[in-house]
Amino acid sequence: MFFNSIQYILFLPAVVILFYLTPLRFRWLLLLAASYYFYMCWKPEFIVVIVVSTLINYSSALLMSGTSVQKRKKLIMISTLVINLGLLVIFKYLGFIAEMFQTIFQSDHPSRISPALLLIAPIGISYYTLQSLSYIIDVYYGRRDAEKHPGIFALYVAFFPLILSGPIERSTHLLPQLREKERQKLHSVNIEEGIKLIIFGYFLKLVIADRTSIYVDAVFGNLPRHGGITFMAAIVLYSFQIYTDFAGYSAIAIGSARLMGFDVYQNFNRPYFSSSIREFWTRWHMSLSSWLRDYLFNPLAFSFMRIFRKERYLKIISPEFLTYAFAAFITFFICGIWHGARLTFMIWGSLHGIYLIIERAIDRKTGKRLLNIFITYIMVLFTWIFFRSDNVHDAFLIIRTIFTQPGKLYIPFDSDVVAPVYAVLGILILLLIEIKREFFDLKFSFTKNRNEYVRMITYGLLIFLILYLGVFDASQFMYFKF
Amino acid sequence: MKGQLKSIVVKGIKFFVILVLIDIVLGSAARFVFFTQRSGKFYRMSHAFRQADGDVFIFGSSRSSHHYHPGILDKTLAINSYNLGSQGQQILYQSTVQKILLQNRRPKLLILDISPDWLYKSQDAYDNLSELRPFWFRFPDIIGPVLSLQSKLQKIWLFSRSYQYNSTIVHILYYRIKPQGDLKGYVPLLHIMNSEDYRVQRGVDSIKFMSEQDREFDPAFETAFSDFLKTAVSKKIAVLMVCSPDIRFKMEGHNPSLQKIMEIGKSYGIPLLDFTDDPYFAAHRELFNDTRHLNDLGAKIFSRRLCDRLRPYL
Amino acid sequence: MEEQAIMTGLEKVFGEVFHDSVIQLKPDTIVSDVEGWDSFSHIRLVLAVERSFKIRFTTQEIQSWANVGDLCKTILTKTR
Repeated sequence: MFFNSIQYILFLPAVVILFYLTPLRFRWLLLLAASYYFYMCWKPEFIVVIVVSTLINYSSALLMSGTSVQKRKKLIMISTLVINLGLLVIFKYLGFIAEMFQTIFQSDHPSRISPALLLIAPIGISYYTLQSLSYIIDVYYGRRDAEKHPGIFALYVAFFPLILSGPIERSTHLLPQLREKERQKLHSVNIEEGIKLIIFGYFLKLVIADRTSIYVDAVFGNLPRHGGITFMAAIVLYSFQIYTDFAGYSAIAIGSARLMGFDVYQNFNRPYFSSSIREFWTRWHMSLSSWLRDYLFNPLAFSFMRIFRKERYLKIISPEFLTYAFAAFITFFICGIWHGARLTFMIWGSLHGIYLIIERAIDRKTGKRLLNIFITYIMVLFTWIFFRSDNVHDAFLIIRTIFTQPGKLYIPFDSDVVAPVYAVLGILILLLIEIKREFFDLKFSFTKNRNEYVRMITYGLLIFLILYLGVFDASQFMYFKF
Repeated sequence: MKGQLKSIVVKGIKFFVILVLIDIVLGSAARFVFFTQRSGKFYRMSHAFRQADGDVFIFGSSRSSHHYHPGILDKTLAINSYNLGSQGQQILYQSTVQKILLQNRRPKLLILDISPDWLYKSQDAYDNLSELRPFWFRFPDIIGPVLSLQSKLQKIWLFSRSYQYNSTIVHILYYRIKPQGDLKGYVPLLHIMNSEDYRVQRGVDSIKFMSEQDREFDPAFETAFSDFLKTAVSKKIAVLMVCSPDIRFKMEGHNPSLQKIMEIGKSYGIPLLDFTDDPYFAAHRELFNDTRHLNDLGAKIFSRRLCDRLRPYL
Repeated sequence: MEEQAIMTGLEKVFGEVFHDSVIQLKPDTIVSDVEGWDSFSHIRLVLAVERSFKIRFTTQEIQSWANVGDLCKTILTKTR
């Protein structure tokens, strides 16, 4: 069951009501049952992987905290990491094969799999593995104690709002909340904030992501027939598709957790208003980028720090810079692989790594903010070409075409012309909202106004926009002749 | 806990009332804008459902709307005809529209332009029924059950006026800026198929054709098709099935769906005119817009040739 | 070395790394409290602290810090 399914709209309120009716000490059981049920709606057999992974991580953390022999601790940590990563690798590759079969057999429909969900084969493993890894590493370094309650730990791994596509939580942040009594008391603020996030999430998903995908899929489904201008339009639309799709899912996830009083990490913070790539990564998929920073970049950096000990390399390069460059590049290369076992993702990640290194070398601090935002956006757009293309060949075809054959903008024909117009309309509404939040937030708040009627009307209008402009069925996908 | 619960309930009720008010106000505005259209596919539908009167109604999917030129039929045969062809719609839609029309009209003849794949299972056939949503409040008894075929929950969604007019505004604006001429439901296509188009599309068609050979039938479509014929027969309205020119296939020996359609038609004694074996069109690719549709010139020629064969049925 | 002395020393190092001479550190100061504290300055910071206090941290130690207080404690044990 996906968030944008009718089942979820029934499932969530049912769970929330049961949650508040259940005595505190049994809530973990309710949520765990709900989470496993939620997960099994997709493919029941994959629950085995979660349970096995949960048991391994649970017991190895206990083993680690039970020993004071540093060597043994390290051995347990490393072997647990290897098992987790092994599961991830095996299942992710198997997942890709399964997905390939799926696309072959459903070839008469252009890909309707949303980008956020492409990362889930078998659903969620990329997410809950990272969540478990952070727990193991945190226990190893003594940043937290091993969790003794197997049920609560299992819930931390499988918590249903987060298991499909994050945000990636931390054991130091979410786990303690699962037993905090005060937090789990019914509070109207939590209900309101949760509902607000969920409404906004559906707006992003139904009004923008699902609309933009129609044009994007049409263009990417038939690359040889299009010119450079069309590709540029498709990439711009794709940049909004992947953002709103992913941020929409995240908002629904955070909102769902909030309904029960849980505070989950923010995942997107208007990333396209970043003035540098460095800033972009503090505003795009934040739960992943901070995970990578803490559990990959930092350890790498400290190792490289010990390697680069000269005063200067090639007379000008400082060891700090060299450390940063190596650690950043490796981190983002792995970030690319995490998204999928494809060369295009590796190039996408590497590009971001290279961007960060260049930015660090130039140390561009001056310039107008708007210009920097624009430059950063263009740089990010370029990387999306690789992210969206099915293979490297296609990506280079697109880049070559953009520079050599602009061609004419592909406008679907007759009544089909409306699909991209809806997409543009949705994006304009989103930009209005985001520009307001980014630049004029203090003036007058619609969503946090002290007058509850202003808030209610604002969200009422948002629901109207969803009902009036959203994509509710596949009829909008029709009639795209390519 | 009690205090919080009360505050949540009170807020919830307030929010619900506001939602309903917004939905009524803006939904009514959406409805008003919708029904003041003067061009485009929704206009053609609403015009056909309410005003269009005639002796001859033509039903079918996009091939119907692009092939039958009522102006020519009217002039040549001295009749009053209207083309109800609608892009992407299949037999479920046709039988619904027929029910709406026959509520208060008695035409002499219904022409049903046959698409060979109509009986095959098709999600699109269900999805595209959404176009009927804006008209639901006028014909709830006819359109309601059809929309329920999409999903049982449609009934609940339809409480919202804004939802009834979902995904209509850009069409409305588009046809307000670029109105289509009103040709009694006929929509001309202006492209002339060149050999490159032909080559590419034939390739696609033949792959599609092969994959269609073992597709399953949807019993709901068979029922809808039988219903269409049964309703007309019971009201003593003549029906004529037509296969308009198609460069992709000859009707004879085509797919099982078409054979079944012909079989059902025969059992109701419905005559069938076949233009797929008309050598004139097969020899003139320049009369086509693409492999599935005639262009404007082709449609005019087809409409004239149809007139000759139509006379006996009037 | 006393805890207070370490904090003063740290403030000096932070001031150099972040080009901000008036940084006030408290034991519970965390990454997001200091403007410009990102991955790169973190590396520079660790190196600068090592240089300034003439010590070397192990990865284990670096990884175990949650805030400035933890950092201070590590230095305290190392310089004792």
